[in-house]
Amino acid sequence: MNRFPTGGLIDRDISIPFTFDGQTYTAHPGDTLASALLANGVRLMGRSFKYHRPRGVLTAGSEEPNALMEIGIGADCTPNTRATTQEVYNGMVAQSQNRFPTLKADILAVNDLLSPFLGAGFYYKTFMWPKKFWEAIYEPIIRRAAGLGRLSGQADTADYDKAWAYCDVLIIGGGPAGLMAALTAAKGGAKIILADEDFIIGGRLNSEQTEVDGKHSQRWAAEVATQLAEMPNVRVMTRTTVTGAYDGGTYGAVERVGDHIADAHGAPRQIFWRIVAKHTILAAGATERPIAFPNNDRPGIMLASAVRTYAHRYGVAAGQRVAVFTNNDDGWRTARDLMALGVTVTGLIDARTDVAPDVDCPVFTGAAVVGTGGRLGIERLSVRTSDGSIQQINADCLAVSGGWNPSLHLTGHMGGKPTWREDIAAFVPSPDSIPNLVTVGAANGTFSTLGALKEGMAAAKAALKNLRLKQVRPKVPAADDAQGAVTAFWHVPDVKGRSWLDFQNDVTVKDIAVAHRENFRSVEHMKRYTTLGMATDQGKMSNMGALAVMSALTGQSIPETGTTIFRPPYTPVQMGALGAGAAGKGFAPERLTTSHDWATSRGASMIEVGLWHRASWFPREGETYWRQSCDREVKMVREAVGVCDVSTLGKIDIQGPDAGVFLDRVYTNVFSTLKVGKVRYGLMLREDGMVLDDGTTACIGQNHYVMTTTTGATGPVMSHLEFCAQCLWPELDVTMISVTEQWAQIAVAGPKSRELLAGLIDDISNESFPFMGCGAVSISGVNGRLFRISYSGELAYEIAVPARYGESLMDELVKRAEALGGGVYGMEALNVLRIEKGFLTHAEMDGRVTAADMGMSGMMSTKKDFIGKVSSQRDGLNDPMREQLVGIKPTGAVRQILGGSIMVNVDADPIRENMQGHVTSVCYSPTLDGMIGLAFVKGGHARIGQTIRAVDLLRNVDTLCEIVSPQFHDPEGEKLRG
Amino acid sequence: MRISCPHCGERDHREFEYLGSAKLLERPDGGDRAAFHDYVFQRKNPTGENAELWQHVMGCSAWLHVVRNITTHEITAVKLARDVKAAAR
Amino acid sequence: MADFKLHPSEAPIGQPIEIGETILACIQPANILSIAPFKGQGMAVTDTLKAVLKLALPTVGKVTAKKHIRAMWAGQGQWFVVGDIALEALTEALDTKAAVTDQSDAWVVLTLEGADASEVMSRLCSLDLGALEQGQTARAEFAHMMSCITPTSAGFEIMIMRSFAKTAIHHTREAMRKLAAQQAL
Repeated sequence: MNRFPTGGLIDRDISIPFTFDGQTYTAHPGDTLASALLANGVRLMGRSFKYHRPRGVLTAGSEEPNALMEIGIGADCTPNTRATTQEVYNGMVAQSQNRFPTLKADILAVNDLLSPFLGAGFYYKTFMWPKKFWEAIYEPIIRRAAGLGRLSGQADTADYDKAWAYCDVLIIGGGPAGLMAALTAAKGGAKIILADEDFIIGGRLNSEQTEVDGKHSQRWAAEVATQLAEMPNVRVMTRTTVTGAYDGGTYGAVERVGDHIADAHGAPRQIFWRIVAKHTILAAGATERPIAFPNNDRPGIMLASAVRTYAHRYGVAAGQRVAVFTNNDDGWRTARDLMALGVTVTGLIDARTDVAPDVDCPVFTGAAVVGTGGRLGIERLSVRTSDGSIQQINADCLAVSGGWNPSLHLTGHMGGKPTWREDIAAFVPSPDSIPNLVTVGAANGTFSTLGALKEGMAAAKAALKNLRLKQVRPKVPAADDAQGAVTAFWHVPDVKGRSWLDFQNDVTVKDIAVAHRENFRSVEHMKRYTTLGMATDQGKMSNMGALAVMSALTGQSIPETGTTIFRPPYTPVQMGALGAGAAGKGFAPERLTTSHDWATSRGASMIEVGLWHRASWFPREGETYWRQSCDREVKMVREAVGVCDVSTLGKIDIQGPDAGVFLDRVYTNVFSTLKVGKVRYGLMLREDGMVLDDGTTACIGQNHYVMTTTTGATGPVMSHLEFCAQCLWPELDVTMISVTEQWAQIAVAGPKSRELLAGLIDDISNESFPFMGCGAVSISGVNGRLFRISYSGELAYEIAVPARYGESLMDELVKRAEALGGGVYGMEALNVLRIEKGFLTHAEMDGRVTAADMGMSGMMSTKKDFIGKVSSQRDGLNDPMREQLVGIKPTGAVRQILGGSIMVNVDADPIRENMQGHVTSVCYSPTLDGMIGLAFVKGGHARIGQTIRAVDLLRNVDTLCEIVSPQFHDPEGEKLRG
Repeated sequence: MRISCPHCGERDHREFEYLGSAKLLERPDGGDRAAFHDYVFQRKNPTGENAELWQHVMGCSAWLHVVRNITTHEITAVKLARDVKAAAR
Repeated sequence: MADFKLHPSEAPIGQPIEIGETILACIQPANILSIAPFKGQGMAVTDTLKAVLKLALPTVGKVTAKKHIRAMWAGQGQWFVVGDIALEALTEALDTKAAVTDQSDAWVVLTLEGADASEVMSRLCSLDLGALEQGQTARAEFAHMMSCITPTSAGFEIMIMRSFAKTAIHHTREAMRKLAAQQAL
């Protein structure tokens, strides 16, 4: 066991059992999976991506590239979870990844022996021939061999949520800078959110042996966190990673609510937050970077900061005999801290020559580690001393410190480029990279605790001033002021063997040299050629080292070499969180008619039309196939009476002294002459001359109209009308409001429709309600509206009643229809009825057709201007060989026509060049006892009577058709006027 | 992105729908086909500030004249389109 | 002649739904009338409303109330008067001054009340709820649907178009359930 007897932020009184690769271990509350495994003496935690090299934990934070695990089993399994952030819970099942059959004996480690053939860009060069082997053989092999965790293959059963939050000041990171900023801003009365990805607030304060305000930094952090949590204007969000910075002060953040709990009992596993902040203080800290040297990836080789974190926060010794390799003062601190805890430090190797470490252990300055040895973990290392001699040192842990990289990622999300600072050999965020965001503390390159506290306070005070809130002057607590000296040192030169830069993608110093040699020298090219910086850590560990190597090779400075662009998310975000609430019913809101429950209780099959759910057909006993129901329903309407809920059609109430003029301008035809009590069919164009929508508009009072739109176009038409009223003619005195939801509207169609309504409405005579008439009616005392309009070609009416009476009216109408030999009909029958009559839907009005194409040029008024009038006069739109609306019916042996078929001449090949048009709508017409269709055919209006073919190449149907008028049924319109 | 609706205050862009250039306010009078061709189809492709039309569809339904820097997404002015149109008259 | 009676459908929520610290219920006001003044008639409309209902049209984003009748801003150039109002009389009084449109059946009014109402709302609505005070009202997106959100002393009133009501209730109930479960952790 590597657990110290005391110290750290863990509860030694409680033991938590968990398994790793089938073996049971125990952890304590406060442990991460990584700290618990280290405490149990487990160093080997994974296999590398490409070469399957044994790997151990490198870090103690979210930047971890090696220790990726599958957590949980079955559908609940989450792959690629960083052991360094995963809290251990009771009974947790963790498994290593990318190994077969076991982590210790992974047969794919053979890849490591093949590494001379698998270097950077190998897949661009190696498996090129023969070509057909690529997808069939090479790719599957590579995919199996290289990789991360496995998906369960099952649907995720966990709950997720999304939420919004607003604040005056968002503080990202709860280390010394963030805590001081939060404290200051909160005392000034600002509404603040403090978000930290860790489960304990404090950042590095929890990882070091240092004092703040005269007490242990861990205690100070805990006290401030408590103080903040008790303030009403503060929301402290732990386990919350701010993942992206977006326009307008909007930030994305993932809160892990249930990932650390065995059973969340219905609580969301994660919540994806959209946080809108007036000011943001980025205090995300910094990550330590490794140094590249041969075989620097052996388990037991860790960042020095991680070694200190495991010691101070988790009470875990990362090794019993530790060596330290550093280019900065933090290495010395690591050695001292470990020795104070009773750990043997077998050597301190400092790459710098002009330093004199005051550490009581074997010290090598001007030296470098040039190799390591050990099976499945480090046992010894070779040091090249300042005089060039090689010395062997025994160690089961090597702590490496290559300096620090400020965590500036969020500042790149809006295109900001960082600034190079030679004194710390690191990039820092450039000011104003994100509007209203200020970076403080280590994230800003200020590495001393005191400096971080001061910067946090200053940023908060500036925010308070900007928010015009109370200025406060909290005392800056006493703290360590050492910034720490560093000399850039990226990789050990003049060595044999592979020195790893990117642990996650198995990229070595030599791979960068290959990229350089092959002219992939820009950082973006280098990244894609070598895959450096891809996958879950997104180069947090590797980018700087690779840049430095490339800059040395090109002879350019690091700032000249530049960095790749950081994009959201900062750390990986599960799809479940991004898609929270969008699965199942959340996919799109459901709009239900008032007769929805009534329809489903009658076994109706439902279909989605836009957001609406409409009844498709109503099966009766003995009907097993939709066509049986549909054909019966069509016959019902043609021969008796049918009832259909048409409430989904858009209804717009238009009023005002200029309402008539307004309608004249938006419709092609004239409406200002429409008399009260009359309805007129109207056609609406877009400004480019194409048809936007059609429908009827009724005049129900002086300067008072009700317009109907097709179901699918309701929203666009309303927006269009509002555009016309507000943006084109604001001088017109006209108002409009949707009344789609106010009225349930039910069509009663068929020769017996008048007879049916006569039992409900006092005067239903042809005189009172002639074709295209309308008026107010009373139905059992409920005020309604009656329109004599027909979408079926039969004598028909539509009755509207206030929506809450819709279901009741539907039920009553259907009962009465059934008594007359009719009944309810659905969308399928409605579609057949309108095709038989040549009426249009958006299958025909697909945005590419003109009024003339549809044979409606007569509706284009010449007496007035209207939207689309001028554009529809364009020469191309008046070409007589444009595709024009016609009807088609089969004339040959093949009796079937399929929607979407292309039209070709009888003797022509069915290829694009020969296309004469396409089929938009088809149905089996029970009235005509055969299939019919609507189609657009080149010059079609002049080709009535000709023969043409409808060809569906996908379903292999080739039908000889006669071109006919699109009005198949009652072309004279005698029935609907009857 | 957040847009300050003159009626509703600052809202997330999800509540708005984008139409296009504010040139759409300038519908030609009369029947000149060339003028309509220009109005319907011809657009500049500017960098930097650009006047656009958005509608607050999930809010007050007002059409908005939005001056937005299409490089930085910074919005510098939002007015009611009807007011901009009326002022141009 | 009519030997039958049309009867109104049941409200989309019968018994209030109580989960954790929130209660979701449905109230159905007798009438909701939309009033959209014609050009230059704003003052005349307000005068008429004052005479008939003792109520003025509120300014943008505001609500005014008199006894059981409320007037709320409902969008550009549009107000809703909510309560027990005689539609025909008001239409007549406002004739030539404003477009009056019956919206009584178009909207379902949900109430979300309780200590966590605001937190539940934050799952469903992108509004800055903390900035929305009593006396104000907002047209806003609610779970991808159009809505009018009005803060009340006990929580929020959410007006949703009738066809969307079931969807809105489903999502609100889910948000309540998940929040309660989260708080029980």
